[in-house]
Amino acid sequence: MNNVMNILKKYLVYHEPKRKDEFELLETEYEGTDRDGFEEDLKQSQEQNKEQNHEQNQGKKQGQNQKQGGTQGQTHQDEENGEENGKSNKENDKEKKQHNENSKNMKTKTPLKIEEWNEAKKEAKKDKKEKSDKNDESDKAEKTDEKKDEKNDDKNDDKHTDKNADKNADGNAESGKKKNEKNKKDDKKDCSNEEKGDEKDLSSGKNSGGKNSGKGSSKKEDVAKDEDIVNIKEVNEKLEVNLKKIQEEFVTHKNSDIVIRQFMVAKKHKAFIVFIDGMVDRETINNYILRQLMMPNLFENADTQNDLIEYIEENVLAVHDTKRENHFEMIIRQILNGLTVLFVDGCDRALIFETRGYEKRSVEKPVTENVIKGSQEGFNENLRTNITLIRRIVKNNRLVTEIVPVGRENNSHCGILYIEGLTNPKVVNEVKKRIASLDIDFVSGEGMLEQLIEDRPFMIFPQVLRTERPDRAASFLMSGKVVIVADGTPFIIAVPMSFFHMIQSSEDANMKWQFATVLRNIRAIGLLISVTLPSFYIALTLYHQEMIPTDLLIAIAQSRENVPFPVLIETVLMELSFELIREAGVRVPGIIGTTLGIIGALILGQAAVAAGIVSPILIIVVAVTGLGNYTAPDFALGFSIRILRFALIVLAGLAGFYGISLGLFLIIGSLCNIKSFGVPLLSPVGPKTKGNMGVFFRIPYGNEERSDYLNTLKRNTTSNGDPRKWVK
Amino acid sequence: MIKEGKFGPQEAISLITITIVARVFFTSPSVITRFVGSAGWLMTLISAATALVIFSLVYLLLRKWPGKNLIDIYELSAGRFIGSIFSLALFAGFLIDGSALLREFTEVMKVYVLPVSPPSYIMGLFLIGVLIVSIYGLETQARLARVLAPVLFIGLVAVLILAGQNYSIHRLSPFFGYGLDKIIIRGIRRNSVYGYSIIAAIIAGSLQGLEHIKKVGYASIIISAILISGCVLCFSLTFPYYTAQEITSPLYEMVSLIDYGRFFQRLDTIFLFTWNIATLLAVTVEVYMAASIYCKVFRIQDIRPIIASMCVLTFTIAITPSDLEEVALGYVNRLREYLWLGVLIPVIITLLLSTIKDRKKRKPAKTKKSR
Repeated sequence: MNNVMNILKKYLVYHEPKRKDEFELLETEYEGTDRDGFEEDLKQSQEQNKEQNHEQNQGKKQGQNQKQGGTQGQTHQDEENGEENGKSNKENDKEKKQHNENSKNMKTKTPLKIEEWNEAKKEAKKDKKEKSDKNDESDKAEKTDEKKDEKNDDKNDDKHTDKNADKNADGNAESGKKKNEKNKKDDKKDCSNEEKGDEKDLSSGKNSGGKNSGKGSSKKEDVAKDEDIVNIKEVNEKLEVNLKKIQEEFVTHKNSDIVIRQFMVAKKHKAFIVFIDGMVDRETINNYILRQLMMPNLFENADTQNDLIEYIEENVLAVHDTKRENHFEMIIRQILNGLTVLFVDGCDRALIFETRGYEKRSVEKPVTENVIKGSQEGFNENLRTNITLIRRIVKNNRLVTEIVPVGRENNSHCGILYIEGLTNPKVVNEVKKRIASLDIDFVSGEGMLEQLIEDRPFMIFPQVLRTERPDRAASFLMSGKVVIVADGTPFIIAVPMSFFHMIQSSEDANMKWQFATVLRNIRAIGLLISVTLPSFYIALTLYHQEMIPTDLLIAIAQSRENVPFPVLIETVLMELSFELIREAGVRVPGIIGTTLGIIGALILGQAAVAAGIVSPILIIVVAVTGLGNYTAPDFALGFSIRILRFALIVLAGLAGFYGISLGLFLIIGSLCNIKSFGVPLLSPVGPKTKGNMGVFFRIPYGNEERSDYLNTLKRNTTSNGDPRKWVK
Repeated sequence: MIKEGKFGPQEAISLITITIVARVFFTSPSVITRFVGSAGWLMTLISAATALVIFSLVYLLLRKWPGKNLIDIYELSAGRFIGSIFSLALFAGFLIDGSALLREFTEVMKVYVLPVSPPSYIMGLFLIGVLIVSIYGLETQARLARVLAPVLFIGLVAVLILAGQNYSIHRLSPFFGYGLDKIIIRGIRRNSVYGYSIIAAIIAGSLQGLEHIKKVGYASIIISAILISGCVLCFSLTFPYYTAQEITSPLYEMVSLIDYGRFFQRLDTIFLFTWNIATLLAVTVEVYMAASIYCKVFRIQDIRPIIASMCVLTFTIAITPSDLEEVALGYVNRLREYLWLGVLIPVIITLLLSTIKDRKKRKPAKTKKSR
């Protein structure tokens, strides 16, 4: 019973995110990376990663073992061994060089060119082969003589420092000194680690050498360590571990737009910051983060290392929005959003700060919902901008914005907006539940999100409202609906909806009620014509000629005299041609599209009539149908109507008016069957509910009530009936 | 139990009214004229009054079993076996009447609109619509009825008004047709057309309380009576009673006579849509009711496969009569005259049984008190 209840709870009850604060900073989206398409197979890259890490770790371990051997005081010198070890040291140097190059690439903000990429690939393959051959040799050598390790140890240390020195000399003039210092410190740290290791080995006695002598066992340990790093979920006190984790997560040896900048905080503490190139504001990072962090005088009052992150947050950084975080999942998500993260050695928390600054489209006129009277602003692709546009209209302190993640792999976000104390909480919870339960890798925008959260995906009609106008979105919010702002598209969706909203425009509110009423009815008639006119034409000419007035019948008969096709084929051909022109008009760029549409239609129609392929009356029918289709303010409804029109044409061809009646019966029946987030789509007509009488009539502003079907917590839109109190 | 959803009285009234009024588009008005002459409009009012009385009995029964639908009440008061027989009588009534209506529709379509199409083609297309909307469920049908009701009402009333140019008051004489006695007897006998108000008792679970059921039952009978009587009256005003008896679809004929100049004439188009859609909904409701009763009697959880079977059954029954005359004077006429008995008798028996049970329950209580 308990199991059943748990399962029911799991699927039926909305679960709040475990950590409520985790959505605090996720308020804007990120834009695409500039990887220039240099993508390899995922599997191959993972294998390469593992191999490289494995080899590096092996090299390190060898070095450590050698050093440990050296401290135990076993002083065996052999020239031959020395030569072999020299070779292996060279290999180590090569690896390190490669690693440094990788890290340089990591910091270079311009992506590699294709030629460079191919060369790098070839080199990598060659290196890989050489390494695998040489590794075999070195393994053999390990097995034959353990004493060689001592010599290798000494030489390795020498070469390591030499190489660092060389690298600093060759490297950037600016970063050379810092790197030199850093390398020295690393060496120091290595030494201290060695000492620690020595102590441990001393305590463990003989086994120290024996443990690492077996290749298989050391490899297993390395793999285990890599896996450990991958499995780390929280920030570690050791900076190296955090660095490695970030490198692993972002595949930094390939990923050219991840920037990891290592530096010293106040010349004392090792640290690094991570961000995605192109998504951050460089000025903020250079002037208000790096500069501040590198000034020692700002850290004079810092007491202990444990409070360093807190101290930095409170006293050092001049950034408006910061947050301490210790979960890597959240940290990675924030980096992907364009925020910058600071890791400091010895601190088990990272500091996330707001540095977003990427290119975005400005606020422009809406493309699909143009109006003459009213606002001329439209949404753009930026989540934050869109929410701000709405907030600018609805200046209500109870307007709540909840940002929730959608898409497992693309880590996109969407905003759920509603007015607390007005919107029905059940609807809000239902929206949250549906979005939270989405289990999909990629959600590209509101169109995809709409299809994932709508009640009946197989129904042709839209089940959510869609607009690209902030003023319309604001009116939806004020009427008690929930608005969902998705990332990456200039449209928002509002739920629950009524079918009749789709014949209403935002312009209606700004017009006198008489004009708005007439326009609403014209739109409704336009839609009806768009759905039924071609099928009516077919039904009349094929089945019910007696119903056509005689004069009209003669005109139709004359116009069809030379047409060789049956009326059904003729109509389908013309409708298809019209759809082709329309689709081509959309695809052809700029102004040519519109011109092509008009000229195409004119020439094609004229030529078709002249050739006697279609009748002139059909041209009129198709043109009026097309015009009717464009009266629908909702773009998605227009698509539904286009498809339904073809269905009715077929039914009219099959059974005349009887077929059309059947089609209409099924269409309206289907509409009655749909619910939008629990609200019947044909509300407030079917079922009949109170409030918002303006289905086809926009009643004058007065004692208006919010729609009953929305079950809002506040019904009246005015405090005392008439909004025009000045009349009294 | 199958889930039938919840809806309000407006939806239910629309649903039942459309189911009842759809009959007026076919042969019934001319059959009435055959029995009572020009006083058909009066006769139908008497039928409606009789139906109101019968519905009152049904309501009394429902009051004794609050929260239960008619099928449950049959079983609870008369036992599983007898209750099932009563329910199956209702099931058969809906199924046969739905089939008869479908056949009537098909024949009238063949006569006026699609003379070349075979009946099975017309019925097949019709039943596709019926099947889909029945599968959508009762709640959807109720909403559909509510959405369509104003359109159908406006269409019907517009046609009746426009046909006014052909009305002549003298055609109503003799006012009592073939005689008052015949009007009353036929009126009482032919009340079955209003018997679909019993749908309110069958879907009691979807309506919110007894008050709503009462409202729905009475309102649907009264509105239907006004509409049917109005249609028959207009028809009687248009055609002399001796001619009217011969017309297959009097209302269709009436509409085709509309002529307001060279362009504005023959409004069959408007009427055709009204007629088609109303009949589609009526047959859908009847098929669904048959399936619903069947599922309730045999405790079937999923109604969808049963609906498909009911559609096949409906087609089979509808295709059986050889011609329109057999349908109109055989099936339809007998159903109109005797179907109400299939409602009235079980209701009276159940009411009696319930009363007896109530008394039995009370007696021990009284004896206990007296002791």
